[in-house]
Amino acid sequence: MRSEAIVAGHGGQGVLELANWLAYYHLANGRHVASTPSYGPETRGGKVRGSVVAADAPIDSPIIETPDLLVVMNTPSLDFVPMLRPGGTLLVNRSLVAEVAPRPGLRVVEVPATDLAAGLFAFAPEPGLDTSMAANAVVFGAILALGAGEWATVRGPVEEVFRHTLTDRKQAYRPLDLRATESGFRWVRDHGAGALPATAPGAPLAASNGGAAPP
Amino acid sequence: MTALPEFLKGNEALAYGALRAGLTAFYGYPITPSSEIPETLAAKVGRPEFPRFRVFLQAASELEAINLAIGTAATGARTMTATSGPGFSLKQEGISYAAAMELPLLIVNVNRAGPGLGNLGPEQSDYFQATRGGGHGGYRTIVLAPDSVPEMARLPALAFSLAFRYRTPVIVLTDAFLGQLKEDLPVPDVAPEEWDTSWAATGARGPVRHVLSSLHLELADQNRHSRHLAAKYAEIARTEQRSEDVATDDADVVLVAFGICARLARAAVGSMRARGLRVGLLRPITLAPFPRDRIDDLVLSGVRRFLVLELNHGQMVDDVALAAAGRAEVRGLTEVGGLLPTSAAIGAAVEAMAVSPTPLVAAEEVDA
Repeated sequence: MRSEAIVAGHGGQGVLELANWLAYYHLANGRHVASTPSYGPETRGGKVRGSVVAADAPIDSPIIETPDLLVVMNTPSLDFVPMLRPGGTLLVNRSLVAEVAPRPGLRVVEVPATDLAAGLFAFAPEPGLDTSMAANAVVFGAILALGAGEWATVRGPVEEVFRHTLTDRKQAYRPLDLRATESGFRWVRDHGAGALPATAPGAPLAASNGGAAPP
Repeated sequence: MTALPEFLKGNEALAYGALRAGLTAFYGYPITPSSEIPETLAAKVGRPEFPRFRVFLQAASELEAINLAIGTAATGARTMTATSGPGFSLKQEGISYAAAMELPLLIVNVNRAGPGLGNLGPEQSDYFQATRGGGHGGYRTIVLAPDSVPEMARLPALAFSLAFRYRTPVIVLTDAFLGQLKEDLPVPDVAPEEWDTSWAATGARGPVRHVLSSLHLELADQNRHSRHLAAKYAEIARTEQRSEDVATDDADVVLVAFGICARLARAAVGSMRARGLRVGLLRPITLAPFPRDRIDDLVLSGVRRFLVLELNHGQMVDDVALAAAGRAEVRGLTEVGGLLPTSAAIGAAVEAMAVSPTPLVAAEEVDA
């Protein structure tokens, strides 16, 4: 079974780090992974996109045309929504995306990722550090909450992912990122993962569900 | 810690593959989308796990890099340089000298879109430049084309093996997509091969003087040398063709694709087969020598339609047509500028070809 995810945002949001975590999470679960970065020439702040294909069998094409999951970290990234396959999941960082218009035939999950991360200042690796940068880890947890399993079973593989990806000077961020991942996971489990609308793909959707407004 | 498979970018995998094949010296000048190769190698000099790797130098230019590489290759050491499009053009003069001096040398080109500066997206537009020599004087090179990150890691060992066996420059032609793509790959277990380097320059320390030069002022000398090179290239063309077949046995249409296009083609074969269309893939691994014998085999076994998928305006399609020699219909599907053909475009092209009237009558049928 092949799964396809695209993570989109701007430079500095940890978009490619998030794609890397997702890739390693699949690897930790014994799957094959192909991941591609895409970014503009800007030194900082440009459009960034990461794609992650995972499958039980070796992957033929690493290219994603119609993703199952699109993560939108900022408003301009809504441009990618038409790529989503019918019935696919749109996961939105509600802190930075003011309004998501109804999306017929899609499951919409809204998570106030940047705000949840900012609230974790107690876990900053050094006092006074702005922890909103951990929004990518909140979204990582939110993605994992879309699947099966409780936090108690997901936590182990997540820690393994961070052992592989947060090395050298980034090691100090492991406690913050683990807490942020848990926070995103629990947010989605507490507020609902936006059940797929019963209407046929293409039919108008009454309201975007998920219903998560920023605190 | 649980042992996860390695998960590397294509460029990183290629750098590790070269190190595991016994790379001794690397010279380069960074250029996107190839820069992870020098970036990966820069920190590895002196590391105990790669005892043979002794020289990493970021040169002042591509010209300096290729000429430093020539000097080191002349000592019989395993030498590599890596670049992308514009830098590959700058290295052509040096590659011509290395071919003339019969130096084993590995040159990597991570093809970006062009011509000129172009952009940083993937293309295969340097196919002619790589497979036809690229520089002056009528030499040939061996050109290898990986289509996955694991193969990016495997091919440097083959490249060095061929470079030393035939004493000739070998090019790995890959693309911006494969260079940036991350995939899981098994941890390789290869010991570096050993080759004869009795021809190499020794600094005049031995009783025999080894002169490695590309200058042959006497006409008869140059004539002899050119014929010697041509005979070597003919032997390579005869014996070193490599390719992979996917579901070509009963295929009505055979896709021909290399690099990232081969991955698109693999997916197309799967989806078209699921719809009942008999489609196969021939993937050249050596672009030079081109696997024309395999095309010939397929034609003789009844294949009458080839669809060549490539990221340029149609270059490899010429080699397929030459090999098919009028006995099969050869069409091309191309995309440029850093974009890739969509699965829908590939599907439509295959379908259009599959339902077209039976193509050209085979030559042997005319004879009968």
